Amino acid sequence: MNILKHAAEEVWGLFVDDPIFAAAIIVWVVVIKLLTGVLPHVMAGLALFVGLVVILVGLTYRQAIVISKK
Amino acid sequence: MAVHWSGIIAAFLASFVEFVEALTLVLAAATVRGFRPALSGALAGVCVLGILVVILGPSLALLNGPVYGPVFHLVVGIMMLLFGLRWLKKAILRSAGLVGLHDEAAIFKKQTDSLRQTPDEKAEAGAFLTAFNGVFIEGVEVIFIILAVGATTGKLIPPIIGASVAAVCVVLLGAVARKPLTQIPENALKFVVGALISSFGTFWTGEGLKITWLTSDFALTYLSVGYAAAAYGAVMVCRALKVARPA
Repeated sequence: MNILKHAAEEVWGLFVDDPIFAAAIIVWVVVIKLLTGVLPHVMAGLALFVGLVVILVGLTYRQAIVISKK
Repeated sequence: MAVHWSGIIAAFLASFVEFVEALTLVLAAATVRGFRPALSGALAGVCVLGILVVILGPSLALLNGPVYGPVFHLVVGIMMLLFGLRWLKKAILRSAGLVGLHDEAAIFKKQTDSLRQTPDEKAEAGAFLTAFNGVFIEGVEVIFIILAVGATTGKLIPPIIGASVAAVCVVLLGAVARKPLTQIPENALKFVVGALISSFGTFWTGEGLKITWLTSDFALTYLSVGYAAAAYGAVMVCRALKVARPA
């Protein structure tokens, strides 16, 4: 049971070790889904990528600030 | 074609990193309690992982059809985004020196010390479990990449080939070195894998949302390069932050 529990925690941790980071990614995908009805599809692809890069860089920098203050 | 090569490369690099970490645990078990329980545990871990691929692979590939295809691509794409961007974030923080690098030597020492304290009657079982856990837990990430890449492209064989070649390379290196592979640039590899998996995730999330990618055959390439460039920029910014705020 310990191995199964450890494996389940490991699998969960593969995707969500920072809930805010994970939530931001999912929210952005939902936003793009809503925008695909409005934007040309190629622009929607660019917006998806740019938004994810902003999330990556922004939240990593936020975590870097927290770590550097310790 | 570009998708298949990207899949092989992503599976090879990710598997290489994970198998190096698994090798450390197997070597720790072998050093303290001998190769028989360690290799038995490792083999048991490989068998369980193989069974998972055999069962889940074709089942997931069935979902990649005209009915469930877009939803399947969206779900797998989001999972790959969560996985890949998480790896990339950690690699950025490690490259910037804000988080310590993965230290195989320290992990080896911790495991060997722990196994030496195991009572003799539980020694072999402890070594078996250490090796099994190491291979199985580290292998779960490899399995995810194989299944995600294989199921979305409809071809499981290319990522399986990538992972298998990585396994052979790590086993051969481990057999020659007979100690943890501390010289492997793990963080650099995780950086590259993070960018690749993130680009896969972005591509397939887009496919699920019925987005049209510019020059779709090369979308994975320019997405990977874009993520790598952005991550490199983030490393520079985070390093400057570390310098600006002395400890």
